[in-house]
Amino acid sequence: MIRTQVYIPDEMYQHVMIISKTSGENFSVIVRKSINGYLKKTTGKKHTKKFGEGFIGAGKGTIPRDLSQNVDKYLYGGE
Amino acid sequence: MSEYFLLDTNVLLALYWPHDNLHTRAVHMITGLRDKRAQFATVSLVIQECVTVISMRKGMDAAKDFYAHYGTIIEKVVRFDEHIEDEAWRIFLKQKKKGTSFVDCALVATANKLGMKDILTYDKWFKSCGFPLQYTQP
Repeated sequence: MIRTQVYIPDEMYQHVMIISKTSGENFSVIVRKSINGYLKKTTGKKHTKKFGEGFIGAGKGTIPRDLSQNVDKYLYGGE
Repeated sequence: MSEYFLLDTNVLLALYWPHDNLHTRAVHMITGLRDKRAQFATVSLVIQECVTVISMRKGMDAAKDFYAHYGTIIEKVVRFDEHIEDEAWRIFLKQKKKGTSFVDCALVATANKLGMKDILTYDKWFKSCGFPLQYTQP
């Protein structure tokens, strides 16, 4: 990703912050989604992430190593 | 190959967690199929199961991270309509084995209704429903 800096009106900033607090999404996610929406509208194309980006192997911390094999046990207490 | 493969909860969790016993196998399978231009779908209940177990084991930050990124794998989330739900109940009520999962029945119902031939899962129960599990069983 590329780090960039932009100026936005105070009111717009406040509005995004409110959305961020209520939705639980951070500021940059909302900005990226907004740009995506704009790109889709103007070019008809949506910026798509690479397959599995941010998902495959992204789980952090330790989990039971058999989580996927015994998900019913961990969810519902089954055998 | 341009058909949709339906993903089960266990495959999504294995893909997401690098320490899961089945992670390497899951990554190998999914990238191999992707290279053959496969597309991936699931049912909304599977996503709900995934985020619930992640929330229980790791907390809401991890559950939100999963939710934010599963779309880089899954192109289509099938939501229940009354036809799929009726079919899922029909399949569920036919079962005799203790511990039958309604979510698994919903996957089978979705595959049947939408004409999908493959369910990617590590659960052998699906074989009894006519899904060969050729990509997930060694």
